[in-house]
Amino acid sequence: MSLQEQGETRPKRSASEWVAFAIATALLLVVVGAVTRLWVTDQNRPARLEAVISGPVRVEGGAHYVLVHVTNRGDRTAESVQVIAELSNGKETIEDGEQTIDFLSGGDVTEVQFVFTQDPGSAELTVRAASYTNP
Amino acid sequence: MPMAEHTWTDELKDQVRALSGAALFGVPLLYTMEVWWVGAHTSAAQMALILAGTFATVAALTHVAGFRAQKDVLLRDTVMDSVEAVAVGLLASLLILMVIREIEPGTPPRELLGKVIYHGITASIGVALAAQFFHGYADAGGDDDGGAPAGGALGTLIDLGASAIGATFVISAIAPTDEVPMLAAASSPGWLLVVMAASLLISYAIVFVSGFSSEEKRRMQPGVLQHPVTETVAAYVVALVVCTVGLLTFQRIDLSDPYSVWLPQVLLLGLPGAIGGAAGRLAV
Repeated sequence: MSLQEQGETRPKRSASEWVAFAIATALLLVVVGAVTRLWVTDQNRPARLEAVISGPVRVEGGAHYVLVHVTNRGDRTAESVQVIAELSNGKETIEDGEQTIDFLSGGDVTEVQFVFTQDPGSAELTVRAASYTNP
Repeated sequence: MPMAEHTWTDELKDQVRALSGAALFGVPLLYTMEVWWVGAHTSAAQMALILAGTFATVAALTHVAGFRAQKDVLLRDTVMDSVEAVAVGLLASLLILMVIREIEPGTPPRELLGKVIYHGITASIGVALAAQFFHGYADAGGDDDGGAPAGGALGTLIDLGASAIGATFVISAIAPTDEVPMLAAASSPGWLLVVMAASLLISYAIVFVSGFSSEEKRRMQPGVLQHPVTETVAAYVVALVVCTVGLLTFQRIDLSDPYSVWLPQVLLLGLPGAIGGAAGRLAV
């Protein structure tokens, strides 16, 4: 039978209970403080997307892998972010690729990979975030 | 008669019971991607509102249930325990989100806060119901009527059967969803070991630290698989088998694929499976 069922009243709080309460209060204050800070500093700027090619091109099995970092430099989240990479010879597109990122919150970075059959070094490679939805 | 002093061990048990309640109640929502997403685009004002609403709900529940062995009597105790319940709920959410890698070192603060606060709703409610929950389980098993627990082979069989039923109950809502392969795809082999360790630890905590009357008896049960550590491991293996069957039933995995494809999914579903299995064992 548990103490709860016996209906015994609770004795004075012991040192252990005060320590647990102090830790819990500190944790909760950190969360409340963080939310308040976010509230005060929140400029609620719309999503600002940046797609940057990063690192050298990886060649494997005749394919060229290009790593792209997509960053949201705004505050609001962007949904269904469309990222496009195009390989062109200056006049026309030789090869292209497209990727969609489900969600990209403010300040978040996601890595996407594009795969080309032709060497991106021998042509002009552009990557850009083309569109997104406001969630 | 004066009551015994509330020792550090008592307090530790209360807190582990609180964490167990959070894990048991919170885990289905923790495996829901829509909640990860909504957490990622929540304004600070909404977060504050959710925190306040959670606190009010938890306070009401703590007054009638709570997570402690002793019931709250004074309003002051209810408020203080509610602060702890919400803090433990948020902490449990943070830890499990880290284990399933929905929160990583690079996660922006807003997304981290949003996810933890949203998942903290059900986890905190789980804390506020923990005493009722785990005591209810002990009652269901008839431990209070003084009956001796089944020992030996029968006891082991009953425990493992209860683990299988508990695991089935919890994973049947998660196995058919896309979250499992999504989480599996993002987990490295080394990280899967962390997931396994977390599953075993939570399972052990629920059965051998959080329970009330049944837990002392559990420790006394004879039988090869009745030692706390071996029982936890055996129950985890049963949970993993249940997860494998569950994923096969919903055609989420194919055992003819290389094991590197299906095993990560089984292990990630194994976390809620182990939690469900532990709750199931408390019921017998």
